[in-house]
Amino acid sequence: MKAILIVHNIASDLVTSVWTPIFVGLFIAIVIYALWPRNQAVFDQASRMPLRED
Amino acid sequence: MSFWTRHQIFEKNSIILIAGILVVIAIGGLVEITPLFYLKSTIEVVDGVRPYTPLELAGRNIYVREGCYLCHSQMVRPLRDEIERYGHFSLAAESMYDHPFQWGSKRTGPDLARVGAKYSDEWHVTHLTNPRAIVPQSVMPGYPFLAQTEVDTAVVADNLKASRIVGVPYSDEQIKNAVADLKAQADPDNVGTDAFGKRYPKAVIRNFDSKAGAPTEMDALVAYLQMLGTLVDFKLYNEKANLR
Amino acid sequence: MQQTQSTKWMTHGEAGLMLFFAMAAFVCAFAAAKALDAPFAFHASLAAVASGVASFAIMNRYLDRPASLPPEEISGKPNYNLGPIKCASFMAMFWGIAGFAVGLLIASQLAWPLLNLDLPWTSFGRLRPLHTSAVIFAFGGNVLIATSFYVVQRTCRTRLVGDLAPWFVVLGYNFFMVIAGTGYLLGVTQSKEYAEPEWYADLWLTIVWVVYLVVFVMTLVKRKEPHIFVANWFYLAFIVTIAVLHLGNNPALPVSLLGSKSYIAWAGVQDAMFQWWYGHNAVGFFLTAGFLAIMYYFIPKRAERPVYSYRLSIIHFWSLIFLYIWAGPHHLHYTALPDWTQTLGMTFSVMLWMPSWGGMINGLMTLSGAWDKLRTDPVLRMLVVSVAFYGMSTFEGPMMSIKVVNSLSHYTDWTIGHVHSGALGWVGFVSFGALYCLVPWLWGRKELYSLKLVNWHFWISTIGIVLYISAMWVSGILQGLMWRAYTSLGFLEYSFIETVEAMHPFYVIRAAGGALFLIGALIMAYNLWMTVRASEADVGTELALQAAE
Repeated sequence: MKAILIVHNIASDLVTSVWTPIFVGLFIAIVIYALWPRNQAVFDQASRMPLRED
Repeated sequence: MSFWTRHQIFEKNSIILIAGILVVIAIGGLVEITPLFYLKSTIEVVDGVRPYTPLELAGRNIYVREGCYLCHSQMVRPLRDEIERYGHFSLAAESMYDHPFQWGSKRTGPDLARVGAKYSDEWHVTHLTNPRAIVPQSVMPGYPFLAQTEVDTAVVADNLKASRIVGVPYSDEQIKNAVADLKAQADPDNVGTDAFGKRYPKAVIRNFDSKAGAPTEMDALVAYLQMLGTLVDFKLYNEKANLR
Repeated sequence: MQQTQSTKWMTHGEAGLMLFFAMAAFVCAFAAAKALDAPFAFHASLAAVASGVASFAIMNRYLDRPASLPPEEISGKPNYNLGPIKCASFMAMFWGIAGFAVGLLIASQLAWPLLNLDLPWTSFGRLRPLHTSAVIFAFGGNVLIATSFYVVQRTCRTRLVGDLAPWFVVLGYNFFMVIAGTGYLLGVTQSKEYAEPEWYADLWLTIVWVVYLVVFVMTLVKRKEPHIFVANWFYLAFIVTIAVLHLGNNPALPVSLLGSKSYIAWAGVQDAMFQWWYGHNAVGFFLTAGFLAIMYYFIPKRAERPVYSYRLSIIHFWSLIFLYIWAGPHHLHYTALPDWTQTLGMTFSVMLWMPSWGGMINGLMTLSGAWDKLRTDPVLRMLVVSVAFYGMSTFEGPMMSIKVVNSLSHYTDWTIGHVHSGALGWVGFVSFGALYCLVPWLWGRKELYSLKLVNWHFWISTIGIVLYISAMWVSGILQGLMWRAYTSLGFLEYSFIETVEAMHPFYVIRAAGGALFLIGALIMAYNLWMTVRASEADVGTELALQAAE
């Protein structure tokens, strides 16, 4: 019970303070990364992986 | 270019991918689940709620075994029609000793959270044996075998013991006398009824299946059904204390 | 010959596993003799026999095999390990038909209750978990194991890690299903929805699942491609998250180590929250993430064009796994669960609509420029229609998670209809499509035995699904409205039993829909069987691979 309380206090503190901005930031970073023009070539290559036969 | 190639870390490294997945899924679970262990409305103690008697627990285990929760909920929602149809909405405290909870998710049959004391024992026995004998349109399976099967007394005390370890406050005395209490509750002529009544105040003592002899699974299941939702006296219950 | 004999040794894995199973056989036989209840004795005996057979099979396999294990590569090409995948594909078909048949039986029981036969092991309450476990975990699980082992090898261009480990995963998982399924019939259940297996089955599944994770990750680690293909992300999220959910929802204390009964550690509200955190994410990560992995590999492969937007798939992945994990409380609206948790669950459920449709668009648009293939290739049509069903049920789901809608839909057949539009339409069809692709590839056949039969399967099953879900929509909404109907004098208009009676015609239609779906699956099984049995002349390129097994 005590351990649960401690875990939750840490978790809720993090959520209310740093985690929300961190997650929003992380998500925006992922979106930017996915849409970054220079990554297009790598993604094109990756998307063709199932189609290459050996 | 080099900045982003270094950030292809998730696609290039499976261990970091796992770590990312774990962090992302852990956060939701922690925030939603952990408060339930200390919030007032979820750990409230309400007068009248007590652990199941050995006979009721045996009945509950039959309820669990037969998968009754697949067609019957035990959770009255605070909606006008449900309160009128079934009674006061369910409190968190009313399932505080339920391992597992049996709130259910489907009402092919009616909610059972407050079915206790609404029908006679005879009604239940007949209905469980052949539902269509009482309710012709019912689609419920019949359970005639319950009345022919005696409750397995070998594991009764162990069931209480295991329940205590997971958090149900059974006393040493209740565990020691589990089998005697189980027999006493199903037999008003039993010598142990007084002692049983002391260990479980207000618990109902009746020969639920009205058959002589050792308690059957029918006794146990009916005893369980007849106590469902009857523990809290809502005339005395202060609604404001535990608003959710 | 003699030279190879002299250098032939058992691997550590073979020796260790053989010893493990030999010991397990004795322990289980002892447990069977001392068991406190009959179902536990039965299961312990089953485990003893299975362990004995496993130990013997490992020895036999060792004696039959050449001195060295199968090579990683044959003339520069990866030597893919297909044996366990074939086994899992076969088991998927077997469990699928068994699960659909039990589904038809219990649907009929609700229409004609006499079919319950009033025996313990044939009543609805015991058969319903058998149906759900057989279709979700046995059919779906075997499809996921088969396709994940196939896709991870192909997209990493490397042989699956382990010699016995992949077989351990496939056979061990199916043994878990046998224990779980027979347990339900004998009344061994935790009665936690979709998590019914008792403590010893749960323990065994944990072992199998850890091995599954290790095999999958180690194969990823030794890949020959720089990039981890997106389908593998979804598979990985599925495997990791199911492990976490399984452990979180199932901590239970056995009454005795020699009996089947246990008590779950959680109680009441907490148990409810754990259960639906598990339950909804079993939908999110087992029935969605896992099968989205299938979509991301098999649709591009079958359509012979890359996925519409790889960028979208990255965003799809992270937003899906982040949002899904919060959605569980929408199963507990208006219950004794605190309000703020319900609201949180509802909010995230509604947001979930967006990544879900992002994924759907990605799957559908992969066909842009190749729509004509839908006319000629019924397998591709099946895959694409599955994605359409995915879109439909991921719109319906968020809608039903809104509290006002939920107050009507909850506890009614609408939920059952929603589940089946996802299960039959999305999971079922995407699995069928994947198996139709996979079986010719695995057995080295050029094509399926008959595309015409696939076409029949497609149409019969589609009609079945439409009958099923429309019947459940009508009965669900009707029942919800009848429960809350008032007379002009302010009394409840209908008794409960009147609402049950009103359901009867819809239950009959639902059973008919289920029967059509089962017939479709039987056609499929015949088609696949004939494909595998096709004449040797058709066997082409993959002879070398088969020889290597």
